[in-house]
Amino acid sequence: MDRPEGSREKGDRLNMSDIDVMLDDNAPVVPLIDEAAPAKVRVRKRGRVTKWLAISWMVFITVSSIGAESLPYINHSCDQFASIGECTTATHANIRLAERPPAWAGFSDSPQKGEPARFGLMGTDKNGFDLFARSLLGARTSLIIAGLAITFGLAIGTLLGMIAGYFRGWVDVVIENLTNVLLSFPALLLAIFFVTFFNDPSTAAATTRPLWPVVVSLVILSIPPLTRLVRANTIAYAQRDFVVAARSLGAKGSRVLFREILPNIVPTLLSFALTGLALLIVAEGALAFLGLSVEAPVPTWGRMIATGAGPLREGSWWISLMPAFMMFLTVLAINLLGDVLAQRFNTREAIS
Amino acid sequence: MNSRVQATSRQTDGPLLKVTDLKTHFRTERGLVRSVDGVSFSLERGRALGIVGESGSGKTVLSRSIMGLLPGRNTERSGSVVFEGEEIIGLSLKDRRKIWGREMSMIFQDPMTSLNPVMRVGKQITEGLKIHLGMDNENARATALRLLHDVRIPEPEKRLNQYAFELSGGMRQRVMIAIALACGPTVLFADEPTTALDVTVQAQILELIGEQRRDRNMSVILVTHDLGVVAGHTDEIAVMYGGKLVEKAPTRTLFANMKMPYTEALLRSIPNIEDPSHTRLNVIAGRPPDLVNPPKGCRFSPRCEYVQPKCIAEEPPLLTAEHADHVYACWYPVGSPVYREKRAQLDKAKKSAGMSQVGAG
Amino acid sequence: MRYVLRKFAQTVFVVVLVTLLTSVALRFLPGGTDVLVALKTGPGATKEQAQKVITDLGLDKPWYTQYFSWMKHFVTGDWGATLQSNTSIASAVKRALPISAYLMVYGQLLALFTAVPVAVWSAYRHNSRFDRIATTSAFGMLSLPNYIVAPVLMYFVSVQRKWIPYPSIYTSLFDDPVAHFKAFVLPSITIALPLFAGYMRLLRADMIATLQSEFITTARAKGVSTRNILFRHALRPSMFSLVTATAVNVGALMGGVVIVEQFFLLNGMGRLTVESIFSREYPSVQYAVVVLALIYVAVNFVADMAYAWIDPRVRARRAIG
Repeated sequence: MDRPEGSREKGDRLNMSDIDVMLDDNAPVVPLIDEAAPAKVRVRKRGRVTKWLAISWMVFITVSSIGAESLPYINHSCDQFASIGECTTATHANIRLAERPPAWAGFSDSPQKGEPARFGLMGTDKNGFDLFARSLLGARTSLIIAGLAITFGLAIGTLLGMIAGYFRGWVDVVIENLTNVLLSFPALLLAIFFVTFFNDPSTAAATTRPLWPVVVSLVILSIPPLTRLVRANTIAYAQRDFVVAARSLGAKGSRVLFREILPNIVPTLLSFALTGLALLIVAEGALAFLGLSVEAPVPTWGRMIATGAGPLREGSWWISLMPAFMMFLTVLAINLLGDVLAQRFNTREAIS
Repeated sequence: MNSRVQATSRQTDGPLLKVTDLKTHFRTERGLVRSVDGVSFSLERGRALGIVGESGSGKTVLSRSIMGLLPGRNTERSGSVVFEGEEIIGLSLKDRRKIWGREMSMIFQDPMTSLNPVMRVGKQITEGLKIHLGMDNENARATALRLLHDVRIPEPEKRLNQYAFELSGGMRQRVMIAIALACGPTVLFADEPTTALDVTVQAQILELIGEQRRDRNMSVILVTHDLGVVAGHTDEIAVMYGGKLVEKAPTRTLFANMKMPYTEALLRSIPNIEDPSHTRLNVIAGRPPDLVNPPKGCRFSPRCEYVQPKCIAEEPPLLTAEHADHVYACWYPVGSPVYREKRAQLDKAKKSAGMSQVGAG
Repeated sequence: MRYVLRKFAQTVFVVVLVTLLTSVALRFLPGGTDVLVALKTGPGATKEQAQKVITDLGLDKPWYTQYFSWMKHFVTGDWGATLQSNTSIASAVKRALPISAYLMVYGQLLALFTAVPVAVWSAYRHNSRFDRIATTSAFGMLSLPNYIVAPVLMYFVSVQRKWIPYPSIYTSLFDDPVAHFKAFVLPSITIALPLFAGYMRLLRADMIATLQSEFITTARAKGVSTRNILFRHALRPSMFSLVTATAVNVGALMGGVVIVEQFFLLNGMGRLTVESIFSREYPSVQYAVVVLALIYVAVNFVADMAYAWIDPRVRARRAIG
């Protein structure tokens, strides 16, 4: 988060330049501060707690989404990547348990005798599936898609950005203009456009839709900003002494790029990658919400939220809002961690 | 405009401005920064006082503290500032605002940053007139024109509609002065008004401030790090070091008979035009004191060439010199036997060092 | 002047590329032109029928000829009919466009009018409790996608309280203003929320920097009241990045419009696009996307011009340069 002057973490050491600032008469004396504000020096501790909460949440969501099937309350025959056809019997069995609210929400109809006590945390959807389990499966889908997309996006974007920033000339002009054109499309429209055209129309509405069109669309979405970022950083580092020195010693272009420049932009990239991951999870959710991401029965957060809208109108709020809550926490945690990294490496989010 | 000045002056005995034991401390994570640590002086109407010191001496904080312009939060201010017979420390923001611009105003070091970059010059001048004197647009504009004329800005009509970036540095500072003078203040604080300007413009601006002071019977407090600036433009000089007033005397007396080695060092740090070029500047060695943990004895002692054990152990009080209006805080002032002895030693050492250098070259 | 020309040239370049890409996009459908023919004529089309479909869409000519004839159609408004129901694409877009336009304008206005005072107050009392609550919740809002906000709002306002009916039914502003705003209030809030967060953070940061400038002390030393210092002296020089952001955000806003229209069942451009994709009305997708992209490009061009106009320094520099 923005950290204005004067508010530094407790642990920060003051260095000589800070003392200089404090001693200097002409150092910015904040001229306009509310008189009524409490007169005490604030020390921030909040950051550390939230950081660990965010890390814990991410560990939890990653581990439990990987092992989601082995959770006791998963309906093995239906909640996974099975086709709808295989699921009819299970659905039939589950119909009695459909649209159960979470146990903590104060609803009187608790599970009947003989039923497993598994609908406690988030309730069930209209097929009687456990929403907590499905939310974890949805987390897996989102994390896999967004993770793949940001990985490829980083690889391609870094390569393009370094080439453009290091070699300049016509390569730079071409890459820069392509970037500009892609950026001049509204992002979600671009994704919709690509997903539509990558999906074979003959199967577009069919039940099985592959993962790759979504991933490729998101990769395309993530390349331009990453290219820009890397290009700007490469240009900056290419003029530094150590790079110039390496070059004058006769190092090859690729060696300079990967040995001298790349290690220096990795910290910036890392914090940006986390922000990017959050953005891509949101983007995947948007596509899924519109029904353009991977197809049912693979659960995705966006799709769960969308299909919960109907019951939501009748008052069954948990079907839509529980996965929404899981998603919010995940995106928030990633954003927080991105923020922590950005502050650690002192990089500003230049491009969003 | 002069009529307004008279109309506003409340008749009181005693000085126009009397500052007694003013302290201004800032709470920071490092601890309490004692930027101003017990400063007292008084100023008569129409007189000019120079406050001189290095950066970090607390001179800027002092001037802002007197006006009450410092942020309320994390600032501790104590002591007394009596202006026209009225205590102004502890006034509410609303009451202070009535003084700001009307009774006391301020001009700053860098006219580029102290003028609003996106507001027309005219509007910046008329603003105060409208607030304090309730002028309408037309009146305010006419007054602004006259003010620009007073501060010798060519083509004032045109300037009203210009922005700060369209003016030269000297012109911007003239606009600043016009803004400060707009409501006919009785005290003008000039905080390093010429530091950011060209040498030729510096003299003109100082001249202008002096001239306006005489015309308006206004008091001026000129804050600067440069003894040369205050020499010809003040009646009195106060030297600050480490948040304390260390010497104060009428300008003439001070230059003729300075007592503090620090004042002397400041004077020597001004480059002399008559020196051959490439003469080594006499910079005061060391750093300004840490205002969180100031030295125990004399605050200048760690950097003083004439330092004695007593200086480190015990803080000197403000002593009165031969003239009653000349005070200084030093155990072994310039001209004292101890000082002279040390000086002789230093000169000898310097000479031999110079010789060896010549020999080596 | 050179600045204006350069920006204009850039804009033209992007417009050409955008239209070119969309005009020839039909050629690259993975299923080939057969898909289009099948959609238009139903199964078992004769050779002549198929040929006619392809000629109508201009797919038999080389791509550059197709581009020019497509552009001619686009500019003259002769956008042809949908493949399946044979209704006019142009009139569908004409019906949908104002709905999306209202949504975007309301969203922006709502975000700006709430973000400015909050940011100003936050910056003025930075590190105060108000500021910390504002910045923290803004940070949270940035992690709240539209499709999460929309159901939450809908549930609390339309289902639990029944204040505003769901789904939103579009009514013209001039026919029935009350019904009009009722239809737009929830969608607008949904769209405005992340914008608000972004604007608030941006303006707050710039405002804190501005409030530390010397000219604020000057204003203060003049005796200007706090409110006037904040809104007359500090706000304008802090607004430059905000202006840029409002334009850049139009892209994000369009994404939001698609989602929100889909959720609140408003028949705007977003819904038109999504529905066309599902019914595989590729020509409609083409036109809807190109219209939205052109609006985005135009807004960005206008913003570049506005930026130069707001900051007199930029204006001067650019007049010289």
